[in-house]
Amino acid sequence: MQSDRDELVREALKQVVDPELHLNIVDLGLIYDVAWYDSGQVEVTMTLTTPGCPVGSLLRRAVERTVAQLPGVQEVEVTLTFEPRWSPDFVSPAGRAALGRL
Amino acid sequence: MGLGALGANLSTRPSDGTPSLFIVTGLAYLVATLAVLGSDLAVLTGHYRHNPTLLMAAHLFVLGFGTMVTMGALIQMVPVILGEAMPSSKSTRIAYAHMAAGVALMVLGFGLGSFVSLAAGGALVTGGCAVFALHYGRALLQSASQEPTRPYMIAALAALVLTVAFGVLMAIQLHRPIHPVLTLRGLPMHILLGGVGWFTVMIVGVSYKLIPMFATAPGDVTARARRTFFLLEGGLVLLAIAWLPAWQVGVAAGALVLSLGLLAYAWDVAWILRRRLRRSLGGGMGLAVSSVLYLLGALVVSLSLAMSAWQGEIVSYRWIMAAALLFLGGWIGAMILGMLAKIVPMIVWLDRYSDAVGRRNVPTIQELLNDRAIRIGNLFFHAGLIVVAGGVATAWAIGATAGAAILATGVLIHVVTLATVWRHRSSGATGNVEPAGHSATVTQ
Repeated sequence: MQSDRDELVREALKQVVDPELHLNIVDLGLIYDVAWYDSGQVEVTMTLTTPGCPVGSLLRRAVERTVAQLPGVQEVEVTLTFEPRWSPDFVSPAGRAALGRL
Repeated sequence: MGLGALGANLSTRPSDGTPSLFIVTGLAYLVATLAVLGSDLAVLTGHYRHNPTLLMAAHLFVLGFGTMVTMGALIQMVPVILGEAMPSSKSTRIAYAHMAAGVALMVLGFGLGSFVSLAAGGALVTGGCAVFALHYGRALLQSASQEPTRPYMIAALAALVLTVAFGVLMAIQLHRPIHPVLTLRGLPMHILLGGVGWFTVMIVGVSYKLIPMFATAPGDVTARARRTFFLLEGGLVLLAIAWLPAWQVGVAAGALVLSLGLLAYAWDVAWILRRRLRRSLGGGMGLAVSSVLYLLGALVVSLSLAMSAWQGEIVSYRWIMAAALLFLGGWIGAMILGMLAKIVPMIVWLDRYSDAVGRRNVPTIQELLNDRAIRIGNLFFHAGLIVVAGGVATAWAIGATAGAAILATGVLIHVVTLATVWRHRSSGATGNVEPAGHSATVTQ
């Protein structure tokens, strides 16, 4: 049940797309962890491609809004972390395939 | 790679349009370079020394285009490298005013043979470079960032100041002799500091950050970047120290270490590209990456000429010109134009669409640029540069002229294509963004 809800969040976050790579942030490997508590609170731990980067405020806001729209979600907390630092190694197989077609 | 590479951090990116100002002015100076060369194409196959047209074209290109565009790109990138906001951009606007006016005056001075104009322009350019280098150099020195690009930027900014200061000394020498060594050995030193110390070191350092990101290539390049930095700077310093007193062993050792640094860099670029996840690099990155081949070509020709000089043979000025074309046009020009095809859409996208993100569909960054036009421009660029360099080297005047025309066409295609990206910036308020076709970027 818990993992189903986490998966729901990840699926929803696939709508958030990096505007340069045109690849969603889940397949890009930016989402490190998702936790959906029974209270309706959802915690998303994510990173950015580089610490100085962050379209941070853009992506973070998009993540918050996207998760907040899911039924049953009462509160969204997005935590940015750079541990570990993002690397292209984190791109999913689907993401790699998409990049190969670009 | 995402937006990070170009400073898409909304809290740190400059919001006053200063990067665009530098870049637009730089592109205008690039077009002016073509116009000056086009007015007297015979200079390409004539002798280069103290030729007013060549001096005008060279300074328009390296200061007006190369340096100003690089400054604009740095304003965008340094906060990213440091991972922290930069202080007021007043210094950058002062630097811009000095550079824009100074380059024009310098070029007029070369063209009219006016020492006053040359001196005034030189003073303004020196001031502009010093203000810029001080502003960013201090921030880079004080930063705790461990980014391997940081030492490259610091060293390159120091070399920029040294280059213009040395140029001013050479100009004064023309008017009132200071020391004969400036006349005898000053020009190569000036070119070494500017071409290698400023441009090459900066480009190589930034490449280690941008190429893996744009190509989405896994792997840590930190150790490679540091190794190349020590080779480049070690070779450069040795060469510079040995050059003026004509210490031949030192010059040879410096050239060898420097060459190893350039080869290591080229090897690393190939290594990065082999590992990339992104199959298609796009026209801009394609041109930027191809510039490394021109760097290698210029290196081979330069080393051959140096060997000839070492053996006491007379070095053909035509081959020096050909090497200069490969280095300036092929290495610096292609790298900067190629990177601009990534940087300009990014800057415009951030200024124009970032506030609309999440509220409605906006175009992707790629959609702001006509990549097909860039690729066509690349074809003209490569064909023109190869033909003009070959024509100059072999004294084939028709080839040199035709090649220059083809090259100019390629450059103009790039400039016009980049100019069209700025149309998005002035096409209305952010809140009235038109639906962006099929794309939905950072949307919900």
